[in-house]
Amino acid sequence: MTTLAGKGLLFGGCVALGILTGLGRLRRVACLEEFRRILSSLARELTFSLRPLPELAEDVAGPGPAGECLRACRRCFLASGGESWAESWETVLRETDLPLSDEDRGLLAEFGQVLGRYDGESQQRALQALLDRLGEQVETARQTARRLVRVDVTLGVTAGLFCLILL
Amino acid sequence: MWDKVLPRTLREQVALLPPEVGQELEELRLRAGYPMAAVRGGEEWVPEGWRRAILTESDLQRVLEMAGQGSVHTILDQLRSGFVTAAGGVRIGICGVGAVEDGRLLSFRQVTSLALRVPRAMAGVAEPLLPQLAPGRELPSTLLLSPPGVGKTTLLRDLIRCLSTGVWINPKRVGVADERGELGVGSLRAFLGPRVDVLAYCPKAAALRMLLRGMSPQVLAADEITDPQDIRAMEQAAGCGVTLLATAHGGSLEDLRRRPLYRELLDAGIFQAFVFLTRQGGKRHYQVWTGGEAP
Repeated sequence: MTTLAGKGLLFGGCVALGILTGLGRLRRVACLEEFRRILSSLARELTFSLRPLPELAEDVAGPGPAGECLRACRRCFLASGGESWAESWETVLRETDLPLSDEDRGLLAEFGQVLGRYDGESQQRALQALLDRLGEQVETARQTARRLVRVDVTLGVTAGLFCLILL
Repeated sequence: MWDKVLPRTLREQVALLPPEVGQELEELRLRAGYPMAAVRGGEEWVPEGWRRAILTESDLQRVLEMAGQGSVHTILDQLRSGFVTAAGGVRIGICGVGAVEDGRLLSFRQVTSLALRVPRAMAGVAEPLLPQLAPGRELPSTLLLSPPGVGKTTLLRDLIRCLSTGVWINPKRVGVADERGELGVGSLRAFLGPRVDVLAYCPKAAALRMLLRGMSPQVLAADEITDPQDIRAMEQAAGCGVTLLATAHGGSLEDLRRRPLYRELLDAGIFQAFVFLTRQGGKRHYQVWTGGEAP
């Protein structure tokens, strides 16, 4: 009975690992899309109101991980007592557990160097460039997810079965 | 107030001052390569505890970062005029190396000095002047004159409060063209009282016209008349029967007359009363002149 339960758990673990890997890919797509949505809103607000970033961040941040990242950046900036927005952004990106690839993080970190440091027009241009590149990232991530989610689950199941056979 | 403009290290230095000195601070002077200096009673000095903390350009940049809430786009227009007004009304004058294009200042390549002027909302400073200025309880159009840093803006702010709340004079609706955000932005707004409409961070001449058209003010107030366009807008407002309150830099009326811009203002006969502010021995003195035209 114990052996059977152990085998069951091992198989289940392998399948779960496969599913989690696949879900991680889907989460990356969702997170990138959320960043795109938020940054589009930020670009619109910058065009019309030129309000300070802490106010904008509070208004445009949604409930997802990207929104939480923006809120954390605002908190970090307000609590820092002299840090620049770019520094707060960098700290938060480094310390927040986001389902993003290194390339995605690199893109966002690069943009952080522009946020709040230039006139509204330059920031809008940088935002637009980032949105275009994020769009490409989303598309790539979506295609990868579509291709690999099934592979991940299949690999999980296969690995589970392989372990069962071995045992 | 300082938490909106000073990085933590500099705030800690200010906190070292005895409370009574801290409350009387008029300015903080920050210069790269030197310790922070304080100004009280018109005198600049470096307190003992500040002498070893030599400021760097990065410290000065931090102050500007904080003043703009990490958002240069919100203060760029002000920066190009050589000053920034931070939340809380602290006015920051800037010096350094300008980045210029087509004769226009784009930004500062290097920031070497900052002058942080503390806004003073001092209720009551205008009250002793009112019996002289408005014997019939109606304030005439008044120009406040003094050299920089003597207290024109503080007096103007309190005159607006008196008008708005009806201290001594009959209460009036006041439109305030607050180009630099020093008169009635943030916590200063509540000080001005209920009958005040503030148009902030908008060029003065345009703000005066907008207030005139949109808010039907009985009194229009503006700080530091410096541009021919401001004078045009004031003439226009005076022609509409609005009482005017304004300030100008000048040690005396003769000083003013020597400058073509102000000569024009005086000749136009817009102002019926003048208040001269001077500082002697650390104390402010006010001299009121009323009489229909400039003495």
